[in-house]
Amino acid sequence: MNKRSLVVSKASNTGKTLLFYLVLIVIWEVAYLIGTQWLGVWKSYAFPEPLGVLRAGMRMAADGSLWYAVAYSGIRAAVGFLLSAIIGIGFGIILSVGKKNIAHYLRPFLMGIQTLPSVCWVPFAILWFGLDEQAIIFVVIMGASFSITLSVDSAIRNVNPLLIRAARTMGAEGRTLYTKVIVPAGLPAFIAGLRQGWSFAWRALMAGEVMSSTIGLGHSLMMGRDLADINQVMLVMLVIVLLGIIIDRGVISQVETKVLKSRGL
Amino acid sequence: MILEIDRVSKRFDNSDKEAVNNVSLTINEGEFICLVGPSGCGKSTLLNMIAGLERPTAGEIRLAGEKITGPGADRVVMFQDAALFPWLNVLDNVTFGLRLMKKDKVECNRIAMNYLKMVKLTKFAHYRVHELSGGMKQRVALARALAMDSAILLMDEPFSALDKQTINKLRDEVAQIWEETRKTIVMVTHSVEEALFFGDRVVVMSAHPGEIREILTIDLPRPRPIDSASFVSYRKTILEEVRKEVDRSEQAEFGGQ
Ligand SMILES: Nc1ncnc2c1ncn2[C@@H]1O[C@H](COP(=O)(O)OP(=O)(O)OP(=O)(O)O)[C@@H](O)[C@H]1O
Ligand SMILES: [Mg+2]
Repeated sequence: MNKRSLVVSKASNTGKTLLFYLVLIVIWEVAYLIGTQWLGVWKSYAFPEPLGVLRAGMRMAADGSLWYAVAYSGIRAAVGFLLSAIIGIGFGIILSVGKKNIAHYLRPFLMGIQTLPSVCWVPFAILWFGLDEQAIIFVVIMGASFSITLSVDSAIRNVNPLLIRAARTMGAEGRTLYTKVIVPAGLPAFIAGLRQGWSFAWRALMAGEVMSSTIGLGHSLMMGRDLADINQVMLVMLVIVLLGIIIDRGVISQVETKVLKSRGL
Repeated sequence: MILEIDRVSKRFDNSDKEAVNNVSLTINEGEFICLVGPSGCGKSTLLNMIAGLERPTAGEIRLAGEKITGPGADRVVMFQDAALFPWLNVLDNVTFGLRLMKKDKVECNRIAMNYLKMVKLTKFAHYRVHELSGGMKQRVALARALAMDSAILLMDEPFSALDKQTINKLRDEVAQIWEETRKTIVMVTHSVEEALFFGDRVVVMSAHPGEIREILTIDLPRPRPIDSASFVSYRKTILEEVRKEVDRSEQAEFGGQ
């Protein structure tokens, strides 16, 4: 296949995907109409419909609440993820360069914490920080940084030892060995870890925001419930999914692909 | 610079036998030494101890009178696997060690290009590692090792992962480069032919425990055509020597079964 036909087939693939979702939305609308209007088995305040979601979106866009929510959540996500990355990388380095037996004992503990759903940190967060920004960031950090720590640790430990040996015989040692060999060699695994860390951070953020009363997507979700506006709930959920995907696919996975490609992986 | 291996032994923690047992050998400057012997006789272990990647459990190795305690740029190793850095292109791989010596970047690139020319890869200087064939990778590794201009070059079966044609070509290149540079080289090989082709002296080792059986001085004129009569008869002698060692160590290992 030449480049041109590749582009064409890619475009037609995207077209097909869009069509697929369009059909899905139509089915959803029809199901809604049948269920609520004709059969009357569903209550319209408990069942979202595509047009209602659209209306909720336009309303929230017009009164600005959607943009505020996105901006606040976005800033929190950025701050929380950044702090998680810093803390996670820091501990990861300590774990993999520190005394071997301490790391050996700590690893299962960290893996245990990592399986804990981040919402479990909410009580702690509230008792320590109150219903505050710090509480949400705390939940994000607890939710994401350990997974980053573990990925840094395994990225470093899985560097091909032959590369390290080769570098050492060429005079690399100590810090140089880290900056010139171990870090670049572990980069692909590390980025994959960051990607996973992002997904944890985003989930943790929503868990934190749902609990709190500050502006944000999680809070808008709960507002929708309080107003018995299921369409707003649905809309906010879709926005949460979309933003999560955009950061993952649009940013982190772009970097990942670039790194992998340059190494022929 | 003289390399002295002085009554060196190595026993790994999980083993009850010495992988290398009481080995002594003095290697002169400019010498090409080949280590041969059955699998598991400690050739790589000995080489790694010279490199400083392993520590002897007894005895010591001295380079120019100084005890070797760790790896260093004066003893570059070329491994069976090219061990190139996949995040760097060919040129940056070759300059890796030079840059660690804090040489000027332009100067490093100049030196590297020189060695890439020697291994006939100048055209590929900006290629990525994954875009090279196995033979090309090994040539980059050779250029990288040579560019360090280390006192000693250590090679652990550098060609064994390659096909016959590539091996022959690379051998000629290495022989030629050695004639030009007269570097001290210690090469581990499982090919007797290769040992005869390169070696000023061939060290035959035996396994369980790993010891030096015999040191043969090869008086063949260079370049050495591998099909000449003297080459073939030499080869027969050494092959028999190694065969005996293989039999003996297999006996020792599996004899009771
Ligand atoms: N890291 C290690 N830990 C424990 N034992 C080892 C280690 N490396 C090598 N050995 C043992 O030491 C002995 C010598 O190994 P070595 O790799 O030096 O052999 P070799 O002569 O290079 O063999 P080959 O020709 O197969 O490469 C073997 O019995 C091997 O099992
Ligand atoms: Mg070996």
